[in-house]
Order: sequence, then structure tokens, then C-alpha cells
Amino acid sequence: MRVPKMMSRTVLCLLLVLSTLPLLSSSAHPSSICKTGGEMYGYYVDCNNHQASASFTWNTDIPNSVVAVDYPYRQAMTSGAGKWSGTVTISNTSTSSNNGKISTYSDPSTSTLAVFTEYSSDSNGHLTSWKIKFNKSKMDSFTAAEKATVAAHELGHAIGLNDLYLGANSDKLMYGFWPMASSPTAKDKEGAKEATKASPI
Amino acid sequence: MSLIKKRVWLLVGVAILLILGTLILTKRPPSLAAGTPLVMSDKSIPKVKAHALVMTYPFDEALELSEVVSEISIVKNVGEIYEPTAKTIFSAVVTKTFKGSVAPGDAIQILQEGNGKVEFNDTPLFQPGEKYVLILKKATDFPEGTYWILGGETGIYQVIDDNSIVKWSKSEKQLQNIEIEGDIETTKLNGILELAKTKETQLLSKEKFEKLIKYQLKE
Repeated sequence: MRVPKMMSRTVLCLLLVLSTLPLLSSSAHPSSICKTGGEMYGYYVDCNNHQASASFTWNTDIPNSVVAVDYPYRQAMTSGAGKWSGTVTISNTSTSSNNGKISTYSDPSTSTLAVFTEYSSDSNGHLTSWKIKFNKSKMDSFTAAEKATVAAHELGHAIGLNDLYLGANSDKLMYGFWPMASSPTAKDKEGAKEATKASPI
Repeated sequence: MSLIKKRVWLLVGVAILLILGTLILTKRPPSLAAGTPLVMSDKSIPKVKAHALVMTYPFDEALELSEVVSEISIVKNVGEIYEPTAKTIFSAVVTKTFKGSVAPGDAIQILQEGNGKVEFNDTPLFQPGEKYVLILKKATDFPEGTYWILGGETGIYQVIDDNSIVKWSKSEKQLQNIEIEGDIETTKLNGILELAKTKETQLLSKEKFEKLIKYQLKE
């Protein structure tokens, strides 16, 4: 009589343990490692697509040509990267195999200024390739400072931050509509730190 | 076999079924496990995401800058563009005009950001039969009668019924006094409900919205 009772208790314990399994395996990072945040936090981390560390590089999209992207846009990238300095180190590289690329295009029939796209990540949610495209038709008339703001926003995506859309976040750099903050705010930087913090060993 | 033994075996059987079910349900598709930006559409076609920074305008300024402001009915998707950025071309019929050289009954073409392969700022594509009030500009390098939407998703107002209309994105202060009391869920439209989760949609009185457009355009 005692044996079946023990067996049934063992089975029940097993069921309770197994019921916790989905919680442990449902995301690329456990919540203790990558905190998504959200509109209410003032930053929104894409835990499935972010940089592996607080340092990364970019290059132009045209092989064997460093002048393929107009100087003002390369300059904007440098200035935009500088706005993240102290939080994330972003630098230009001449390595053509680099997977972070920038390019320009001309499309007058749109309100899109720039786009972060064609990105992919590894099984840890770390970005392995990405592209930033600037729309010259809309941005050529921008000042150097405005171009740098757009570049800094797009680099925010490369860091691993999503757009914010609530009006309450219109004062953040990662607000998804132009105009927005011209430099990363404390909340943008907090999100960037969250996105790029090293995973515990 | 005693009743107790039967119960134990029944419990063991249920446990095995639960274990198998748990393993099957928690196995993620490889693309998602790899953390790629792919999403599955209704037709299970992988879509790439694009985060676009969009130039926006206050409502009165958008009306002033526009070349056409019309209510249109989407007819069908007539083509997709992939370079330099993703767009879809829709044929549409004008049902009402507030500004510009188009008249009710005219056939026009609308460019919307995104296409079947690229999801643009998490916004859905237009569907045949849907009605919208759009703030438009004439498209260059496209046939006559082709227009693009000023302000992108923020220039899209979907007609829900005779009384209500929904601004897709970016709550507009100038429209707050014509908002309808109530929940956006009353629209019962999947696209709108999805948008409302991430964007600041506004449910507006259609009659007051049309009056406001006419008033602003007269000024």
C-alpha cells in the first residue's frame, strides 16, 4: 500500500518540476540577463537583436570603396557614433568584411529619412549583420547636426534598441518619429547599457 | 489489479502525456531561436523587419503641404517594390475629395511603405475593400495618378464605419477634441488592434474629422 502512495507522490513532484520548464526556455535570454524594458521604461531593448558587447564597428556598403557613401553621411555616422561615446564605442573600420554597413539611396516619394534593416542575429540574440540606409532625397537639405541626429538614432537600433512610439517618449533619441531628441538621453543610455551588457559567465 | 494500482498507472500515463506535450509546445522554430528578425505572415512567408525613421508634421501643416486629401477605397495590390526600400502599389478609387485635382470615381494608385517580404515599422498592409482618408503627395518617377502618403503611417486615417475613423499612429493634439469616447477594441479590426498595442492610435468622430479638414483647408 505504501509503495503506490510513494509512487503517486513522486509522479506529482515530477509534474510540478516539469511545469516550470517552459518558463526557463521561452526566450533567447532569461529575463535576468536581458531586460526588455518598454515604453513605460523610456527604452525598449530588442533582446533577440542587439550587440554582443559595448563596442562595435561599421563600414560602407560598397566593396573596395571608401568614398561610395557621400562624405556628409560618413561624417554624420562619426558624429552620431560620438553621441553614444561613454556608453557604447562605435567606430568606422576599413575591413570590407565588416557586417555593419551603411549606404545612401534617393527616394523623393516617401517621408522615410533613414532605415535600419536586413539585420540578423545568432542564437544568443547578438547581431551578426545589419544595414543603415540614408535617404538622400530627404536628408541632403538637413544640417550636419540634423544628419548626425539621424545617424545616432539609427545606431541606437544597431546597439539593440527598438523605436519608441508613445508621445511621452518624444523627448528620447529612440522616438520613432522625426523630430526627436538630438542626443541619447539618460534613458536611451540606460537602454543601451542593458542591450550591450556582457552575459554572465 | 487493485484500484490503487490502476490509479497509479493512470497517473503515470497522464504524466508521460504532459511531458511530451510540454516538450512539443516549448520547441521554438529555428528562425526564432536564432534571434533573427523574421516574422511569419498569415501565409507563413518569412518577413524581414525594417525600422524606419519617419518625418512627421502637425495635422494643419500636413494638410497645407499635401497635394491631395481624399477618402479612397482600396481595390487591390498591383505590385511590389523592393529597392531602394520596400513599398507596395495599391490601386484605389476616390470616394470623396477634400483637396486636389481628383474627383469621386477617379482611379488612382497609392504607394504604401512595406511589402509582402518586408514589414515596415510593424504596420499592416492595406487590404482590398478598406477605406481610408489619406494625406497625399504626387509621386515622382511613377505614372500620373500615383501618390505617396505624407508622414507615412502618421498620415493614414482608416474609416471604420459611417461614424468613426482611426488615426493609425502618433496621437495628434489638434485631433484630441474630436476623439470618440470608448475603446479602440470596438473597431474589431485585427490590423487596428495590433497597431493599438504599439502605436498611439486615435479613435475619432468621422463627421467632426471631415469638418475639421474642410475648416483647416479654408483657412
